Amino acid sequence: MGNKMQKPANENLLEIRNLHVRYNTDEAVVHALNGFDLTLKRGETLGIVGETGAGKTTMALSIMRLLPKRIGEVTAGSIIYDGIDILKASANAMLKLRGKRISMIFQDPMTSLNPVQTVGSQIYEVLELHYPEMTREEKHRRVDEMLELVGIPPARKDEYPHQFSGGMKQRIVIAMALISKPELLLADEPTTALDVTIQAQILELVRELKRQFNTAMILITHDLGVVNEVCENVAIVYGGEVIERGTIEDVYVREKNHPYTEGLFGAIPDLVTDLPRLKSIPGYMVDPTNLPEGCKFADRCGFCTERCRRENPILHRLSDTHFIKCHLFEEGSNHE
Amino acid sequence: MFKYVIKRLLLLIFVVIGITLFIYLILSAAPGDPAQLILGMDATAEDIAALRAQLGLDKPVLIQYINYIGKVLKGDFGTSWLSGYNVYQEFLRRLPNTIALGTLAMMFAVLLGIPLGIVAAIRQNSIVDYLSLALAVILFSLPAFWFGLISQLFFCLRLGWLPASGVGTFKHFILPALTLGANVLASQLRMTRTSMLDVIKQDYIRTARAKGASERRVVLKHALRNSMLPVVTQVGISYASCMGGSVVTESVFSIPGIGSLLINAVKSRDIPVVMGTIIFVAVFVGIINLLVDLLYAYIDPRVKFAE
Repeated sequence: MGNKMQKPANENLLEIRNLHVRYNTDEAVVHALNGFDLTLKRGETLGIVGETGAGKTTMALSIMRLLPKRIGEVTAGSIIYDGIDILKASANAMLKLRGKRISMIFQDPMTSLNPVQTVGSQIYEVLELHYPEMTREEKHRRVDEMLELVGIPPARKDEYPHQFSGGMKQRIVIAMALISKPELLLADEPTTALDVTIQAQILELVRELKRQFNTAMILITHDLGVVNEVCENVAIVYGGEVIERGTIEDVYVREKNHPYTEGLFGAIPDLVTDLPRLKSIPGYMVDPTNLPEGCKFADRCGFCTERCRRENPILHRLSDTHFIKCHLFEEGSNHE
Repeated sequence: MFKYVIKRLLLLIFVVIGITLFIYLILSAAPGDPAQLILGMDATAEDIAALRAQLGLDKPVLIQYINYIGKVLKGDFGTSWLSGYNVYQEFLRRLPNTIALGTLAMMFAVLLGIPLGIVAAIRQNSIVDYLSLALAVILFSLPAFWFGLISQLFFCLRLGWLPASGVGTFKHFILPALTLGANVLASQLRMTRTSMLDVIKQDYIRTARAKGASERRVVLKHALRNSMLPVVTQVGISYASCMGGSVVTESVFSIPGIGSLLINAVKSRDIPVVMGTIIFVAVFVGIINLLVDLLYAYIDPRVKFAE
């Protein structure tokens, strides 16, 4: 590997800078990521929240370099993972990263397992790929341990995916993702396809395993509640950009928030106050095939000014941990 | 699974009875009198009546059928009305030719068509993909008689590499198998490509990539087996249709096989020969279908046999 220079003395595990990704389809060019910035420290748990189509999954796939071939294209920016330039790394280097140092859990457990292979063999394959030095007995033992850990009886490892329920399948996917003890786990809406009770179990499991293996995690979701339960930090994504980032406290205290974040919180039903309808954010998600020049939220924003339509705001620093990408928070202005 | 196979084989008996009854009824309802056809246009009415009685054609159709099936169950397939040969013996003589031709054609089609289809899929929109499409279109649209004749001209007359007609050695079967398999190859190729493209898009393929599996491994270990399901079905159908449907190829290359036997027998209303051939083809198709279903269950663990 040509990329294995001396390890930089950097506590950041992952740095995404100004990432632009687009999808070139027959009908249109979809601008999925438009200057996406993100840093993740070792062992950190970051929640990424945004509407469907905000570019959350695209970001995860970019890190894995698994964007759909020919269609997905990185047009600018960089992704540095522990000193490795992901976008320039060789195909071979990526094979050594994927599944070993970076693992991913996908949204729909019903379709993310191969229907014609036993679940045991699908977990075993990770070890086969990344731990050639392990003996066969050791690998089988590891698979059994891992299944035990996620709460699947190891005796069932010779069964096929269709013999398991959705929640169990997601446990198997989690076992597959964590058996190599990765440094980074990308969880792309791991509980969206599951019912609420199973959801809680799965989140508890992820949290527990993450603690055990000291894995950093990016949890992608559109559920602010889930983030609050599992994460330390949160990034709000809109139109392929991080528009607010901070600790859970920074964002959830709701003293200072991006107008979009305000809108997201407004759309959560409240048990105390009596509202006839939920407050939704007016308008639709920005059209990624036809991006506006200025702020992407301008059309739906109650505070929109002439400047917002002209000029895309930069990320303003509110504290050491809290950042907001909005003209309202420019140094010297007093919002709220 | 053993129970399932037995059940299917027992069912096959009823299938054969149904098919033969149906064909027998159609043959007797069709215009033209076999006795007249055998004796010629200038035969006397007495001669024809005598032959009809001898062949049992004067009895009701159902009785005729029952008599015939009764004999078949005893192992007696009768003799050809027209030429007097023993149907069963003739069959044994021709069967190896048909099976050899069909099997070789299928091997050719499967061994070339499926790998080409896979490559076309994983190199979608590349030059390989377009060339394979061109090949498939050409092979599919060439009529067998033309393809057969041209290949005879080139490989037999011009180059002298292969015998032009007849049977006997492996060499005799090469050109006929290519001719018969060309069509099948084209459809195998396209079917494999479509199926592979569909599978490659599935989430579990992305999961395999996310595990760090190489592209080669993803295709061979994760996509191939899933993509073979529709292809296996089609191979079965094509193989079965090679058995009775290779008439054109058989006549171009003068191969004494089942297809030409059947066509000649139908033309001359040679009922014992037609019926014997139909029984063979029905049993063969039934067995191929059973094998396809077993293979299906082997490939896809979600398929379960109803006991």
